[in-house]
Amino acid sequence: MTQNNLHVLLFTLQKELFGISVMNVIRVTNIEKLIRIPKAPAFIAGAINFEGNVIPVVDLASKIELGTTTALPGTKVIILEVDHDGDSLEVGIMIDEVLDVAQVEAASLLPPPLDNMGFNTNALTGMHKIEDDFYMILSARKIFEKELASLVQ
Amino acid sequence: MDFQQEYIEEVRQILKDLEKSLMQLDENPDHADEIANVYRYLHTLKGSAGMFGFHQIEKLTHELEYLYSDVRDGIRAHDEQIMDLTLHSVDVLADLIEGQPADDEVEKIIRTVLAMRDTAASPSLTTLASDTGKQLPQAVIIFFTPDSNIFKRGINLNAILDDIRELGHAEIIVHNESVPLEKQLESRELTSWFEVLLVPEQDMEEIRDVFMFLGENEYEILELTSPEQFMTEPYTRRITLSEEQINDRINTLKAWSPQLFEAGVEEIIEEPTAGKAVDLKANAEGQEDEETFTFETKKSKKNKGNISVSTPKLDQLINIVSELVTFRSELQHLMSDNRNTKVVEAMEKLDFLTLRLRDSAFNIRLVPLSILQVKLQRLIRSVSKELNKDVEFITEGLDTELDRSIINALEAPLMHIIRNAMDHGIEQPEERMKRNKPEKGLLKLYSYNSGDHVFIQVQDDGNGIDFDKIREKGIAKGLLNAQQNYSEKELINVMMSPGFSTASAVTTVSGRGVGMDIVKKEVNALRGDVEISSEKGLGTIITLRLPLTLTILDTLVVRVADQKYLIPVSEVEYCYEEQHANLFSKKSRHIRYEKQLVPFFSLREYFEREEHPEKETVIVVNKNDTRVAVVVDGIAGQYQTVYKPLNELLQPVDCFSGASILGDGSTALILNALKLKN
Repeated sequence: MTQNNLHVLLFTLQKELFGISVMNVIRVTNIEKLIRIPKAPAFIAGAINFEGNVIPVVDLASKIELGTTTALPGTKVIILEVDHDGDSLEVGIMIDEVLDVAQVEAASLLPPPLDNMGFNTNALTGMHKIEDDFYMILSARKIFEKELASLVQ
Repeated sequence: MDFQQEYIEEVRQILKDLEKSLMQLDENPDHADEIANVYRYLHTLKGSAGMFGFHQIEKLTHELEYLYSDVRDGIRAHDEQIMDLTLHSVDVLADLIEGQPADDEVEKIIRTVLAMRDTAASPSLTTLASDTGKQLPQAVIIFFTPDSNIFKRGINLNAILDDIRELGHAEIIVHNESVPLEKQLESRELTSWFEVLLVPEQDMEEIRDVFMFLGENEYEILELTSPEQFMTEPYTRRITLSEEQINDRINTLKAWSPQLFEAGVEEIIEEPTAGKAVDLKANAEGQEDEETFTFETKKSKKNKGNISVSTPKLDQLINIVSELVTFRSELQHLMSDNRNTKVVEAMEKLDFLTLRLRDSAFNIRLVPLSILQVKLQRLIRSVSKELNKDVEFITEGLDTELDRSIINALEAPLMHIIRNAMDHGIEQPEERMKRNKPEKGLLKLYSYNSGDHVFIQVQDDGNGIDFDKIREKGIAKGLLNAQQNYSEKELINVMMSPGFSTASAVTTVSGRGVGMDIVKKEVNALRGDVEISSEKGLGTIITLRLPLTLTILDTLVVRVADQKYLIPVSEVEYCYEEQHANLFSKKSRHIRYEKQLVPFFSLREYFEREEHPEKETVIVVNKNDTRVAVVVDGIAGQYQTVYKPLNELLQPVDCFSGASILGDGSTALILNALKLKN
């Protein structure tokens, strides 16, 4: 994969179309046993055992102010790996459905619309058009920008 | 890993073992087993070094090996000089194996060894028999190379050969026997020459007398003191022997003189006296020990074999095992309706095996603290020499296991603490005598598990921390206010702040390491704490409190609503059941426990769950002498679990100290009960 090409995992969340770079994706899994974490920030739905590690599951919809997803057995979770400070943070995000993996040329990436989207667009890095559909490309780093910043301190 | 890398790893391990044996010897210099160990390590090092092109290592170990064979054979004592030299050599060898040139050091050590060996009375090094007096040589080699005109000179060769046989045990090897010797004698045309292996019963003079009618270049008498002589001049001038041939010769000689090359040298040196008899006895005992020792090493080699594995590989294994455990429980669930006894049996077996696999996999990452012991002992040894302070080093509980990465990171802080204790804490021997303390300082290192932490303590019986001095210095450095009174705790905090050093002068000992501030920083980086307590004139205790990370933790599994939580068993002091109404009838939230009021917290309430069971379970938790009672629905069991640090996103949630995967693959949080108070 060259620098100009980007593979994105396409998925739906609250009827919206999203994409996220596969470079950040470890795996897509189903929620089996989710434990709630009392006293955790509201956007954290709980934690799951992923390959022997305890990984927090984030309600992505709530994180980007798009609504809420109810965590049920079978709910899809994308396990992400987010780099920070040479370390990597593993976190799961709840989504609705996985659609596809698409190859996107960086040059063809459109600037994301910032207004009137109905959610917090700070986490977007761009927009991709496939046929008549527009996919909002999320940056894993930007989703957790605030949390990562507080970790550095 | 290529062969050379493997070899380097092996050498590193041998050097570690060697160092350990030396430390044992330092405590107990007469330990025959350890001497034999050291000898064996040196020998092993030498053996493989040449093959991989580490000629300096080969040279150095070769010389040291000589020294230790002398020590082993009781020819010289394992004194301080040898100890220093060998320890230094271990360092040099470590440098060499890492590819750092140390030629000068190698030469220096070799020169020292040679000088030492020269002073040892071993005249045997001069090979040609000179005036060795009336003592019997252990073994002698004779090269008998008569001129072909020997018969014309009227010399009876057969008689000479017979005379040789009469000197003691002798084997005459005929070389150049293209024509059988008898034929040569018959035809009086000699082409052969003779090599004689002799364990004489006569002294050198008698031996030489046999050849009195022969020319000087027709014979050479060589006293044999080491097997190496078969491979060096003047032997090689005559004949080059294969290894097999050398061994044959050695075996032949040893059959007559079992002590050959081992214990015999002093026989040449010393008159038979009572002292000698004792020596011989000691030797005999030493040899017995050595035999049992080799047997033991064979056994222990089997037990102790180590391989090194990269950490990611290990993590991968552990994760896969965790997944397997999850999968097993899933399978169990699917099979739960199955009544087939064979299937049930197979499931039980799978159960048992998976759990065992999990336990062994988790154990791999843990190493005992004792792996640092040798390094610390060496430090103490060198510092105590440097400062002229004798110190007794006592350790306890060093089998406490910690994650390897934590142990590695602890090395520098621990070394600094010990150095500090010896430099600033423990007084000079004279001063100690004045204070009615034993002349030898006491340094104690102990470790134990408590709750979700491992404690490591370093205690000395020195002078303690001089708080006045810290105060003065803190004021001088602008860290403290001269008008204010400070508690000892505050002063200790100042002491651990960056750039603070209490030594009135920078000594070489304290000047080279890290300061207490760095110790604190490094321990904090491991999510641990440093605590110092000190009694003026009596000593100091420095306590490192470290999280377990991967340490296996015994936990009590408790139920709250539909979830399970874990409380470290070591923190649990008491559990009992109580009616909800009784607990919550009053506004104050305290229970009476051991004549004290202990605050209690209902987890359901804390986690904002509305409903509650009629009968609650109260768990009294005691951590660092602070008591808190936790009210839960019930106890679900006890479980040995592996501590997982909380994911970064969850770290703001401080009422949990970590998480864990339960046996059925589900996740549970480890409760940090004290934080409920805040």
